[in-house]
Amino acid sequence: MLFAAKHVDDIKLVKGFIRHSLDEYKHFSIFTNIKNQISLDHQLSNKEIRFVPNHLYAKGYIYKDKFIFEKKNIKDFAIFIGANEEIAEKKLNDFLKNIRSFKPNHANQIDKILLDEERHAKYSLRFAKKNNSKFGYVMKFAKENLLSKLRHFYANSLNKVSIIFNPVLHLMILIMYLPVKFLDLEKSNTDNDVFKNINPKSIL
Amino acid sequence: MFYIGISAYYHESSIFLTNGININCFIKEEYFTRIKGDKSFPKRSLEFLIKKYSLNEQNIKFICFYEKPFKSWWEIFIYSIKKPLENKKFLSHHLKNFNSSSIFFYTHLNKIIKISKEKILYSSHHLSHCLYGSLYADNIDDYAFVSCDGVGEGETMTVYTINYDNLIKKHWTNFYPNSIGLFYSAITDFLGFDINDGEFKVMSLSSYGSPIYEKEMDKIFDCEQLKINTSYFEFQKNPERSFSDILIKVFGKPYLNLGIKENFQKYSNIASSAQLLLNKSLKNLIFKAKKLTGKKKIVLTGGVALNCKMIHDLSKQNIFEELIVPPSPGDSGSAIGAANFSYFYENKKFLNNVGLFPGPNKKDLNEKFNLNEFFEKISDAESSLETATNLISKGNIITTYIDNTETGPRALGNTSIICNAKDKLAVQNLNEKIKKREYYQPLAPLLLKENFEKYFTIQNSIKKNLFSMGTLCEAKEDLKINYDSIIHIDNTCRTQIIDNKNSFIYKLLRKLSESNIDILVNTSFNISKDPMVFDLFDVYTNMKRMNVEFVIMDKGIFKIKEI
Ligand SMILES: [Fe+2]
Ligand SMILES: [Fe+2]
Repeated sequence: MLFAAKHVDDIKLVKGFIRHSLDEYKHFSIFTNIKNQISLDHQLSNKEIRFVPNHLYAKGYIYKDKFIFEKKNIKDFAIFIGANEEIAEKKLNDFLKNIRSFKPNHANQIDKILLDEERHAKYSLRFAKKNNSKFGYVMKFAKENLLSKLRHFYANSLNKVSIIFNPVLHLMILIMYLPVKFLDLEKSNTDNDVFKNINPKSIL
Repeated sequence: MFYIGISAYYHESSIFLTNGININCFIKEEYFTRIKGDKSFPKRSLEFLIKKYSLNEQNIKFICFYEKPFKSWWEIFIYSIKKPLENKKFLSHHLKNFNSSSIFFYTHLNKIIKISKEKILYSSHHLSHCLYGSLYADNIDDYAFVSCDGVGEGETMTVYTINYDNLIKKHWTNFYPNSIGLFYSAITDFLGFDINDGEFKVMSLSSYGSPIYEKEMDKIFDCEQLKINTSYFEFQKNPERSFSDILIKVFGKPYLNLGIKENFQKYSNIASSAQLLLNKSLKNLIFKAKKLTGKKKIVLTGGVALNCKMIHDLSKQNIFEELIVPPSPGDSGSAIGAANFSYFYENKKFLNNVGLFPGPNKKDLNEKFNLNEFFEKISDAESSLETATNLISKGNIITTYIDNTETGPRALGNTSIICNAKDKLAVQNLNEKIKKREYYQPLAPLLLKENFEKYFTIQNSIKKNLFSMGTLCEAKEDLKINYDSIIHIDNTCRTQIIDNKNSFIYKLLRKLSESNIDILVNTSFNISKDPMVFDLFDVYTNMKRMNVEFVIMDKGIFKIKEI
């Protein structure tokens, strides 16, 4: 969101994106507080319950070398945000049902997040509707929903992928082991003229 | 012609550009992506430089990577593959990472700028550390250049000298896995902190404990021979955990919650014992360097040099005439070392000192930002000093966003959050509520050089490091009277002094002393776990998140607006 704010010209949009990013920072700190509270209650360390942003890469929400805003034009970006905020809202609601009875304080905090997300979805989709044709909007919205489902499916099957992939890697390691075993390179720990002896063009 | 150094893929990525005369520009990729410690290829930083300096094949003399990519990947691999079954987890991980490793540096570079292979150079990991450090030594021939880090190209500690004819000699090197850096990181991991980020917390924590595990530590790392006992570690076999079950047998359960009193005391003792082992090892490393080179002055680089408590402890043992730690001794500063390598390759002489603020000027970062929409000017540049003095003495916490950017990791006043160090409430607020740091991490005082001796003591041999917060020093009785909230539990402070009469902070401290405030608290302008602010969008969102109202800029003092 912050990145998007830095790359649009319309001041209204700039401010909108900044407000949205401030909300997301706030949500992050709410979740962090809940996490810290849980770890204190159950005498766990922060390392034992942690948020791993790598999952976001795996699920494809974030591209490895690009921000979402760089990959999509602003009309599609709005649909992406709108659709995914709605999905997030549904998921958070399910989560709330589970924890409301035994963690009422945490549930109340998440209620606040939900209100924000609802607003974000509304604003994004309103912008998207205004700037896309009716047909385009319906199609793209459906596409984003489908993609999100596929991403969850993919992320959940990642472990299964590694079941196939790991034996291949292990075999590679064993194959490499033999030649390397006989390749015991003598290493020198001194050098009397470093610049003369280094090859600046070599990666070795 | 421009010389460009790049450091990436393992620690926070950075680029340094220089023409060897009057242009220097150092940037980190995390400034653009807002991911702290971003280690990906510094694509956005490079794009920024391309635009700012109209870079092309013609005006770039060399682009130098800070290490030998294949060697770096291979040396760790070849160590682990000797026991393929035991280490298969690590080896698989290492193989999987092959195509995102620095071996593809040229490919990644070419996606951003077309440049012929002839213009690409590769320095060597510890040589880049040394060539960065050399910029901060007055007479290079007087010094031994010692680097000490986790690992780089299979080396963990290296001793160099450079004589007046610029002959660089490597006197000794220690090989992976014998690494005091990896030892300290494994303890960081064990105590529940993140590696490459939590080492500072271990250092702060160590002051609360006593080294009751000294004997145990001596079995883990032989500080005389500088050799590690690998049975206590798993960094060579497991990408997820760097210590072994044997270490758990010695120290008990890892990752305990520090919010509980007994855990805190126990972990402080472990941290204190690890810190002692670090001191002893570095002492022996420096002895070794002195013996091999005959030099009495040391420039220390590598990530381990960031441990300012160790620097201070060593100074009390009088084992060197002088010890210098440059402002960014870790791998990110090595981008500057790499540029120095390429400059030397062409000109047979070294670059000049790049100083404390080689980063871009703030005015070059904010062409698109509509200042009036987000901030309200409350004072002109001419009356900034007056207004700032007023705000600070009334207990306000204010931010600075002025002039050129620091190298990091420490903010030296140009991109800082400051408050009156006498004001206990402000100091506590700043640490816990605003920066959201752990209460056991002390805040750093900032004062004029001429006032230093009134409040602190330090050995002359490490005094120079005070300009870049590279060391601790001791608090005098005078400091305790009014400024006790900045004194760490062990009576030390991570003090910064300033003597540049042209800088705003210098003038501000001068003005504040008229109202009897000699010391400011200075901490970097970011919330913990975030990189330092870079452009004004970051300034605005960070101030909002921290609930801070005022910012000093070159054009005056501004108050944040609601949007
Ligand atoms: Fe949202
Ligand atoms: Fe290094």
